[in-house]
Order: sequence, then structure tokens, then C-alpha cells
Amino acid sequence: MEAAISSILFYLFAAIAVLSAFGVVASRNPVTSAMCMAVSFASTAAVLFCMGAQFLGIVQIIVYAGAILVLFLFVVMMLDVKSEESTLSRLPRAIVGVVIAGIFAGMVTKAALLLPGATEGKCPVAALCCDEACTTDTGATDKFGGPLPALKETDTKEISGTKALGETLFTQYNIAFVILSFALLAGTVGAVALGRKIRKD
Amino acid sequence: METSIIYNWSQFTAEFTLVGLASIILMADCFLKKMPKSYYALLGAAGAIVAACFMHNDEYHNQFSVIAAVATGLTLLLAYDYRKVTCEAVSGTDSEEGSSELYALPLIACAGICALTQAKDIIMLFVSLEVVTLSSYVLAGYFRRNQGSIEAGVKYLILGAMSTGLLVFGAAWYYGTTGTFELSAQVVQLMFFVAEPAMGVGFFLGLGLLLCGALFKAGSAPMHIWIPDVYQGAPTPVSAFLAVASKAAGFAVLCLLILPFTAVLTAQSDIATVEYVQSCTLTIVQCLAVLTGITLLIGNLGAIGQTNAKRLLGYSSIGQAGFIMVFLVNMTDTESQLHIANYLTAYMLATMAAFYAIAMVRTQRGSEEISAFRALGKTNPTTAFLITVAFASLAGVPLTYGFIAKFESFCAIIAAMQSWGMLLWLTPLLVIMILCATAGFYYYFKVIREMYWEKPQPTDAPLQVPVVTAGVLAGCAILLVVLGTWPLLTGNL
Repeated sequence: MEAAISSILFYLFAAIAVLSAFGVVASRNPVTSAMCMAVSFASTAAVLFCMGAQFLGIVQIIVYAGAILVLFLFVVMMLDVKSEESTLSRLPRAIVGVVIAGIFAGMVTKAALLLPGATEGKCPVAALCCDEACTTDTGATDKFGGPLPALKETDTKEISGTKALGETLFTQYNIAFVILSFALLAGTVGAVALGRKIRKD
Repeated sequence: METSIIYNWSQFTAEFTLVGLASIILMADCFLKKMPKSYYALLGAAGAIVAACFMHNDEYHNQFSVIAAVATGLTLLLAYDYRKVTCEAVSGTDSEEGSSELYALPLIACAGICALTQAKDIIMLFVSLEVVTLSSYVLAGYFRRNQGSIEAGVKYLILGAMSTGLLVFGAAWYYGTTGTFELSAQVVQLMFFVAEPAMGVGFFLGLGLLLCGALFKAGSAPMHIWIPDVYQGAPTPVSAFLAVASKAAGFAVLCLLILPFTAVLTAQSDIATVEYVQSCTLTIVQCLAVLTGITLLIGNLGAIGQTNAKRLLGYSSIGQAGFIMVFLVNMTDTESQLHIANYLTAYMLATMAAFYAIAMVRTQRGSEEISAFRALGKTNPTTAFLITVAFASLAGVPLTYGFIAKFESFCAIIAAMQSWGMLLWLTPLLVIMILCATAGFYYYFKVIREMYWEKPQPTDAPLQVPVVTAGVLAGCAILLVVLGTWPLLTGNL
């Protein structure tokens, strides 16, 4: 029963996340877009909670919904947003886009349904299983890897997800983490370079 | 398969040094007010060249990182000669204020490429690719007073973000079907022999999406859309960086994704398993062959009508990417990485020389059109000859390195026909290659024709060739000719 409810919640929040992400693109009004994005971020956080990655969920809310989105809204409010002109002339282009997106979505769905056990609601890969029952069900045990450390450790309830995440980040992926800081450096330098005040002549 | 720590700190010394140098430049920019900013370009170039020498000798880095570091050094030297235009486009006056980031960011991007070439798993691949991509977004839009540069920056940002999205989605599928981020022959082996066949669909979907991300960087179809606009709009040194260093990064990723299959293919001993693995990888070869053909056609046919020299080089870079991808179509070749690096070296020497020429003409004649090259053969005969060598090498004229590179590419397609026998797929590709090599002669020679057959206008003064540009043009031309004739003399093709 408990598993069923958590599955229902998972799919519910996943659906909300996808739909509101669609709203971000579809909406004409920038403020509506930003609010849709907030909903999308929050439901993504909920999905992360459902998967047992509490720390990631909290970070998602604090950093994305809290900091980044507020910044977005701030900029949107500051700018004088004009209403967009009619987009009827873009109709053929939109149709082409929808067709391509549809083909892509169909391809992905087909591949997902082909995975062993997908139609019976089982987890096809041991690596993605959060609970033991599903690992033993499919027999797809340890042909490939195990569960993500961040997920694995929360199952045993001995080590918290935060600790597991920190351990992964600072042992196995330590160097990648440092290389990622180069990207942050480049981003910061770029923001300064592009946002610098232009002198009026 | 338990994943463990597969990197050690010492193998990233070169990357940390490059980023350290970039930080020093940024710090110096803040605190040394009297220092001319363009000196930072020379400092950065020296650092990149030293890093290239260092990486050439260490055991961790492969050829791609050396090519990227040399290209970064040449980019920064070009930025030094281009400083006048940079100042106008950034501050609107002669002042050098705000131009030093242009000299620091290529170093950070180069560190990203060098880390990328050492990647053994998708995490490192993605992280270092992001370093390159983020720096490139900023660089492409660096000339804020220039409409074209802003357009280039925005277009690159949006299309780049999309390709990153595809790459991450692909990584999710890859992890979802294999349970590991490792990119190795072992994973492919398990996928072919142990996993259920249905898993292969998801695996190949993930691989295809990862390939999209790599093709974006390499500038091949179907992810080539950004190239002409971004190359034309971006500051010329940045276009040169994107054309060479960033392309090397793209091919490094392609090699990381494709070479595990080569390893599995060549490791099989008995005929039954060889045939089984061949049937598994057949789809990849077919896809690569089709993409290569489309890339060649788009690049070479698109280049024919161009009048802007930077845009011409943009389409040319798509076309050349097609010739490089042929080495990957020949999947059974274990040395394809070496061939790709050879081709990229030939491409780098010629393309860099071409961009130096464009920058010089732009600085002194104020135009990037091909017509701005008019009558250089009469006003500056030596320089015109050096530029001719570069464009001839891009076209693949015999006795230049470009010819040897294209020749290797044709050898690869013939070898592929022998080992795969898919004549229905590979013969059209060979025909396309021949057509495109011929088309190349037409559009590269447009520049040469402009230099020798056009009459100078009365206002045209001879160009003052800056020392750095003269040195690089001469160096590239000499290397192109020497490397192009040496194998013919020794008979060691």
C-alpha cells in the first residue's frame, strides 16, 4: 500500500513537472512563464523526495525555486515587457516543430516500453531500483553497477542521503567537481564581461 | 561493475596550470592598471604553447589536447594582432578597457578541452564539455557594440543549450540501461553479450543523443545550423578558436563514444562472434555514413555561394568535418584517432592561417568580404602567396598537407568498403566525397582568384603585415608544404 501511494505521488508530481514545463514555453506572458517554472521546480523537488533523495530535493527548492527564480522574476518585473505580436505567420514552422517533437517523443516512448519489464511496472535496471523487492523481481541484479550511492544509502537508513551525496562528490567525483568549478569561473567572468556598463560617448 | 576513482590529480596538472594562468591574467587586469592589456594575450599564448609541449610529452593527454592547446595559443596571438578592432568593439574608443577577459577565457576553455580528452566516463566528459561551452558562449558575444556578435552569442547560447540538453538526456539513458557512466569497451561488450536485447534499444537511443551533443561541437549535420552565423558574427579570434579547438573537442568526444565499439569489434577472434558484433554495430556505421554524407553536402554546397570570408570558412569547417567523420565510418580501424588528429592538424594549420589573413584584411581594409582580398597578389606578393598555400591546403592541392589528409580520408572509405562490404551505403558516400573535394577547389580558389586576377582600386594601399601575423602565416605555410611533400619524398604515405 505504502509503495502504491509513493508510486502514485511520483507519477502525479512528474506529470505536474512536465505540464508546467510545457507551460513555461507555451505562455506568452513572461510572468506566467516564470510562475510555471516555479511550479515545475517545486514538483521536480517532490519527485526527488519520492525517490529518497531528500537533500537534492531541498537544494532544488532553495537554489532553483528560491534564488534563481526570484532573480528571474526580478528581471522580468524590471524590464518593460511588451505584448508579443501575432504569431500566425509562424504556423507552418510550428507544425514542423510539433511533428519533429512528436516523432522524438514517440521514439523515446517506444524505447522505454521495449525495456524488459517496463509494461509490468517493474524496474528494468538494477541500478535504478530504490528498493530491494524490485531488484530481485526482475533478476537484473548486478550485471551492471548498483544503485546510485545517494539512493542506496538512504535505503539502509544508517547513513543519511546528504552524507552519501557528500561522500560521492568528494571521493569518486572529486576531480570532476573541481573541473566543474572552472565552468563556474568562466560563467562568472563572462557575466562580468558582458554585463559591464557600456560607456556612453 | 563497481565504479571507482579512475582519475588522479597529477594527470590534470596542465589544466590547473592553464586555469591558474587565466586567473593571474584576470587578477593582473584588476591590479596592474598601467599594463597594456594586449600583453596578456602574449602571456596567455606563451602559456598555452608551453602547455601543449608539456602535454605532448606526458602519458595521459592525447593528440587532441595538444591540437587544442596550440590552437588556443594561435587564437591568443591572433587576438593580440586584432586588438585595435577589439577596443573599438568593446569600449567604443581606443582604450583597452574591458578587453582582458577575451584573453583569459580561451585559456579556461582550453583547460576544459584538455580535461575532456582524458575523460573515461560521462561525468568528466559532461563537466569538461560544459567548461568549453560556457566560455564559448561568452566569447562569441564578446563584442557587445557589434550587432553580429550579439546575434552570434544568442544563437550559440540557445542552440548550445539544446545540444547540452540532448547530451544530458542521452547520459540518462546510457546510465539507465547500463548502470554505469563509464565509457569503455567493457560496457559495450556486456551490452552485446550479456544484457537482454531489448536493453540495446535504450542503450543505442542514449548513444545517439550523446552523439548529437558531440556532433554539435564537431559542427556536423544535423547539429551544424549554428556554424555559419556564429562564425560570421563572433570576433575573428573566437571564430578561429571555435573552428579549430572546439572542433577538436567535438571529435575527441566522438572518439570517446565510437572507439569502444572499435575495440570490441577488433577483439573478437572467431567468425561467429565477429559477425554477431558486426550486425550489432551495423546500424551505427549506417547512421554515421548517412550523417557524413549530409555533412559533406551541406558544407561544400553551402560554401559555393558565400561572399563573406568568415562565413565561407564556416561552411568549409562543416565540409572538413565531413571528411574527418569518414575515419569513424571506417569503424574497424584501431588507429582512426591518429588519422583524425592528422587531419585536424592539417586543418588547423590552414584554417588558422586563413583566419589570420581575414583578421589582417579586416583591420586594415575594414571588411570581411572575399572582395576585400582584391589584388593582394600585386600589393603584397609574399603574403598573398602564403595565403594561397593555406587555401590550397584546405582545398587539398597536391604537395600540401591538406592533400595528404584528404588522401587518408579516401583511403579510409575504401578500407571501410573492404571490411564492411556495405557497397549500397558506402559507394554513394565515396561519390559524394569526390564531388565535394571538387567543389572545394571552386570555393577556396575564389579567394585566390580575388588576390591574383582582380585589379587594385586606386585607394588600395599595400597592407602592413604585423610581425605576429607574418610569423604565423609563414610558419603555417612552411609546415603545410613540408609536411605535404615529406611523405611523397620518403614514400611513407
